[in-house]
Amino acid sequence: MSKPALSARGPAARGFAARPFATQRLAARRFAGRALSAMILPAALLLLWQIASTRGWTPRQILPPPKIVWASFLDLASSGELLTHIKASLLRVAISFLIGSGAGLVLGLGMGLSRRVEDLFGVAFHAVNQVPTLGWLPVMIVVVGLNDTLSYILIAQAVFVSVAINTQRGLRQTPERLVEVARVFRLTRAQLLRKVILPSAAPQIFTGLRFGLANGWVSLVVVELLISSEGLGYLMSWGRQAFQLDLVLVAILVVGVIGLAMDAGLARLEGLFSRWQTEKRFA
Amino acid sequence: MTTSGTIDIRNLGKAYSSPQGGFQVLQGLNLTIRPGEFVSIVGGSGCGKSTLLRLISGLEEDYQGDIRIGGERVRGTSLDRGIVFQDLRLLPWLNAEQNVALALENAPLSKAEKRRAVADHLEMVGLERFAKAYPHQLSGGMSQRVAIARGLVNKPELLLLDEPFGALDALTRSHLQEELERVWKEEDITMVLVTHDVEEAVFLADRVIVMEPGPGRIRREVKVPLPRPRRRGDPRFVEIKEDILRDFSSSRTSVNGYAAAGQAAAEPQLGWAT
Amino acid sequence: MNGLTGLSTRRLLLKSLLPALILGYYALATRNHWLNPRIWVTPGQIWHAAAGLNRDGFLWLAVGESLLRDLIGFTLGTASGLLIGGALGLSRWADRLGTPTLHFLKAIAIFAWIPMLTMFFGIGELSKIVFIALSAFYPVALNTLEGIRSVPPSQRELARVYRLNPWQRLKKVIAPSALPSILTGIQLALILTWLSTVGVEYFMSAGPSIGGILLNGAESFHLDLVFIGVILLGGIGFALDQLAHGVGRHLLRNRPQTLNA
Ligand SMILES: Nc1ncnc2c1ncn2[C@@H]1O[C@H](COP(=O)(O)OP(=O)(O)OP(=O)(O)O)[C@@H](O)[C@H]1O
Ligand SMILES: [Mg+2]
Repeated sequence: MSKPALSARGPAARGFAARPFATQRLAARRFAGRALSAMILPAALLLLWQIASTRGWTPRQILPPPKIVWASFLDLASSGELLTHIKASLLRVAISFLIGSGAGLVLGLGMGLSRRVEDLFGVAFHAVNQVPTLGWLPVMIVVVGLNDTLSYILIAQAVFVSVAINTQRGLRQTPERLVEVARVFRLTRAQLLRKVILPSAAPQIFTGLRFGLANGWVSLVVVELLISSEGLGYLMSWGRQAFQLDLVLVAILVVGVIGLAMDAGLARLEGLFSRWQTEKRFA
Repeated sequence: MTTSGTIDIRNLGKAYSSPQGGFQVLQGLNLTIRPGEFVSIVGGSGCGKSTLLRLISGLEEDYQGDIRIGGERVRGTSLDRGIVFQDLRLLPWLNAEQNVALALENAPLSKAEKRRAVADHLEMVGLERFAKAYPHQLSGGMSQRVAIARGLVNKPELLLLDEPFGALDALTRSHLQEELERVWKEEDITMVLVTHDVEEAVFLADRVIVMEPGPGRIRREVKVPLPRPRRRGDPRFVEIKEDILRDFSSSRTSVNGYAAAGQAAAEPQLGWAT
Repeated sequence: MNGLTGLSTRRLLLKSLLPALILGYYALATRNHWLNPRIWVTPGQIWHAAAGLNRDGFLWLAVGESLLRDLIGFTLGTASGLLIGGALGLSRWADRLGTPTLHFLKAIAIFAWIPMLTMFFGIGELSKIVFIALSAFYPVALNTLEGIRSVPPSQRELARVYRLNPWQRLKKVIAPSALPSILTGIQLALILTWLSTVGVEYFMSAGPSIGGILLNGAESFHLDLVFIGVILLGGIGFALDQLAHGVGRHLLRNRPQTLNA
């Protein structure tokens, strides 16, 4: 992690400056233990899978042995094909995420800060949201057609909705008692926003971004399963058509790993921005 | 050099409306506070002390009667009037130093002067080593000291303090009382201190206001004509304290509904239900 | 008084401005063929199509099929989620062994399972039910786990002070304390399963069903059918959501503001 922000100038200040070395080592050991026990179940499943395929409990076509899946993984990876698909998917999500979250932040900020903006856009926004993003897919297919634009629109919308809703909610939930502090010190509107409202809303805004990214990732898979000629979803649907479960499994695992990594990344970012929140002692 | 004028509160009333109907918190309250005076307010829980401070600070503008400072009716908050909230209200995302600096956001000082003022005041409350600590890393008493530093740092002409020493240990408490007295004398700030500690009230105030509930109003005022610095063991000090305590305890019974029939206006119970 | 009503009329106007503009434009554009009439249908046509679908009872059949499928998948998924989540929450060992895997599996976007399910079970009813159940399983399991984990230590200590046996502890302390979180999980599950029901019907071309209506509409470029499907999807989703929240509020009626998120 980054250097502790507290410069320990005296013994009393050291208490929350850095964790003492001994605790750190203990934590490391505990983490190793956790990681090890976390691997037991997957390992057992792997073993079961291996036995099932060597004993021929399941037809090879339906469940290829782990060896074959691993081989196709290596194959896909070394040929660069996997990377191409991953890149395609990530690029698609990244672009849509930028568009969707940008728009979502703008609308969320507008609706959260101004009643008038909320009055103007709120009804239409909530009406559209009554149908989940994926529900709009068939409409889009008819209107936009089965093409790449559709995928961007759909993923961006998934992100947009989550970011807008959470941003607005976060801004609206600023405790009145803290706004009063700003009034006592005669903060201007800009100062109030910067010092009180935005920090208070930040965790919820981040939640919106995280959910948005997760929803966007789900939408990506759906869209790619249906329409694209590239990407992890495409790899899956191609594997299914070619009856190559190994490809499908590889793609599933990669989808999971990336989903996890993205969430962990944003969670970490969130932690950096809301360090003040990490351990609430006085609620 | 006192620039603030006399605080003149005339026939003040304040009602909160709730779904069950209105509830009169304050009624017919008259109080005059001279510039540079130190006034303590004591009174049972729920008798409207915090509400009174909110009204004087200008946070609440919907009331009956009149609050004037230097002849001008109070409208909205002002940097001349500071308040230390009973529930502190430190911003959890700012560290101690930044929380204190919040009060100087719009002060006509240079960056360096602001930094100095913040550091000085943190030192005054004994928290210079905790400047970078966030509120969740501070104990209740330490948080309270940050709030006091924040209230003092921009040197308002009037400072309203709502039980600022409640969570402090006896030693820190008396130290801060002395500090507060020193600042009061040096800066010539008018101070209104709400406290549950009668000794503290007598120790610091020129005048102690005893409030009573149902609806909240002033029961009586007690002058404290003792020279400063005061000694708590001084027989005259003890006598004034005892006198107020007697009053205080009988006002407590009225809180519990044993007040004389004429005094039991409105519906005291409603206040406890809300 | 007058100012007040004047204000609220203005707000009302502001609120209806955008929807009115959109609907007005849509009505005009479809009538005057500003939009491609082969694609964009008039509201009248949608109504007409709905009436047509309704004539032979198809519409209700489709709604019934979808709801039944949802119900079965939801029940199976919720039950297994409660079991697994409960086990992970109650046993430290189960937690250490199973929870990381659960978190990883949850990170896999749910629709990614569809190709594999169809390979295992074909595109019949079984695949669909399994998929729907899966989408109920994660939120219920995770929220059950979370609910049990966050039983306050003070309450656990209380149970120890009164020497409650494990069953009593579960019944009197852990379950009630975890209930709000579990209900949140079930509510989520109800909403998610509805989406995945329609989604899986769309992917695995079910017969008469809401997903089937959407699929037919999209493949034959019949926007009227698609809109009917979308309206059903949104409307029923809304109703289910209301139902879930109503039940939740009722079950937690004696608790201070737990469900008003
Ligand atoms: N926002 C509000 N809405 C309704 N009633 C309120 C509100 N704020 C305060 N009250 C009521 O006003 C009365 C006085 O409250 P206030 O906080 O001023 O009491 P207090 O004298 O400061 O009490 P304490 O010593 O416990 O701090 C109480 O009965 C309280 O219930
Ligand atoms: Mg108070």
